[in-house]
Amino acid sequence: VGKKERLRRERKDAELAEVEAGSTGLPGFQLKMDRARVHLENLDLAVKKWLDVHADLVREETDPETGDGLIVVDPPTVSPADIIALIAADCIHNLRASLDQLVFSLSWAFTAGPLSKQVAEGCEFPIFGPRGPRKQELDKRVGAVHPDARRIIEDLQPHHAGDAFAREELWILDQLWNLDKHRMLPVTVFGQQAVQINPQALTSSATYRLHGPIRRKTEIVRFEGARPEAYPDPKSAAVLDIAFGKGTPAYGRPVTGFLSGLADYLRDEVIGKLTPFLD
Amino acid sequence: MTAPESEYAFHRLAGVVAKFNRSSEQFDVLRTEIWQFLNEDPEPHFSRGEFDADSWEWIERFQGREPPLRWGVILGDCVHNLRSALDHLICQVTLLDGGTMDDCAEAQFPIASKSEQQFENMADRRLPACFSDKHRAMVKEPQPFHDGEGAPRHPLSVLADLSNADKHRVLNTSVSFMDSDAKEVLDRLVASYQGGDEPSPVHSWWMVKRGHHLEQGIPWFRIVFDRAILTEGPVKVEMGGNIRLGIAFGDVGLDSRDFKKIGEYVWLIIERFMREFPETKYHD
Repeated sequence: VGKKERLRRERKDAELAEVEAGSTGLPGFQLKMDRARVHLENLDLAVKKWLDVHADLVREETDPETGDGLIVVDPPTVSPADIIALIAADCIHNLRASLDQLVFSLSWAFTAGPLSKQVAEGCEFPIFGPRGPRKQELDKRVGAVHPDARRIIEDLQPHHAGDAFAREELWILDQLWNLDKHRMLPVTVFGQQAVQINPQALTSSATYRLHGPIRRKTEIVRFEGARPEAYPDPKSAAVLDIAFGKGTPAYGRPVTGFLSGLADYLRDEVIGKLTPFLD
Repeated sequence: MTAPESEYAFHRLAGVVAKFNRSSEQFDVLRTEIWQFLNEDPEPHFSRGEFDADSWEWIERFQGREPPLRWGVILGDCVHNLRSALDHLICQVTLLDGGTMDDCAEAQFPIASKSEQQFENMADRRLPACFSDKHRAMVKEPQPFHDGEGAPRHPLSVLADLSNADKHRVLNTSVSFMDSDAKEVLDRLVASYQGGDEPSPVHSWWMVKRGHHLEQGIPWFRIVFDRAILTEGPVKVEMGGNIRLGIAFGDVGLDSRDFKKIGEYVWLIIERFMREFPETKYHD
């Protein structure tokens, strides 16, 4: 081999090595998931802080007409701070991007040599809701992954749930991501997630509101007559939280709890099933 | 830079400003981490030299820790929020021009680095039909394609590249690069020669250029000796001063200090559009 040819080969090898070193992205999806968890921790703190600051929104009063004891929640004067929506948005971004980076890594693992530019730029975790993907749509996104991995990805598609596709975790994640990326911050609202009841402490009957957003002064518990003295701290009766607001695909779901569940779902049902194909 | 949120709290672009500020805050975190990394004691990098008897030169090789991968993840959040701020801006302008949230579904701030025609095609796809001519022109004006050959280094092109890579493919990993000016260093070396009238044993010096990526073991400095004058190779060469390092991100090699410029450019775009919105003071 002549010197010129040897140099050409060496340069080519060096270029390939550079592409390999820079493009494997193998830990990328995992780091993105880790980052999502960090955002979740911060989100949890931000929500707790907000609720703590607004703890006085829960109070007791007496219905002047009936004399019934009430536990009510007042609406906050301002909506939950932007910071909650911003942290939630960062969490959503990292969860969704981890899926695309996972597909890139799967493609890398199954393909001999570096990925072509076309394949690399087409890599994407497909998420189809209202209809199933066409073959060429899947070929473009996951055409370079192991056929068994592709089958798993196909089985995970929300469209398999039929009309209920919009309740599927992957669909909601994708819609939240698109909403945040291109249109607006995912709106958050103050809401009641549950009511804590201690039937043994009741001496008369009581009516409860189970859950829902708090937009105006809202009755959580109405005791027939005065509140029983043995009834625990009224503030513990209303389980309050920050939830996704109207116009978001996760309306009414508590922000932290929902995203935490979503992260667990991705870890167990998506990444956990696909990582064997990275070897 | 961070925009004062209190000034925009009631503005229609408050969400855009919030996204922009989130990006700035995350970049501040990243910048702090980079500063701590580069200024650690002991320093995260050093040089190891040895004499090569074949080429009769002293070769200094870079030794150092790789920048952490985590930085790529933090940068991912920065670029995501900055890119989103532009897209949210388009959505708000759509509403201003009489559109609805449904019109925003496919809307996006187009970034065209190749040609005017590319911009027009992208704008046709990404700007809703209700978008006024004036606002379309305002989106066109800051486009990278105006820079011709310099378009790939335009702030918006770099932002789009980093954002697309992070979203769909790989982390924008960071690398160390030489931040000392080779010419300045070599000129100083030549001027500091103290051999008087004696001929210098140094035949030539070589140093990597500013901006060159530095990887573990890579030669960054060579002193080629004159075999006729220096008949025995030196056992030791004392290198004075420090290697000044910088940190760059992604395939585009964005100098971490330049991310601020991208932010400032995006803020200019946001600010111009801000004036298009009627003043709203709900708090009065």
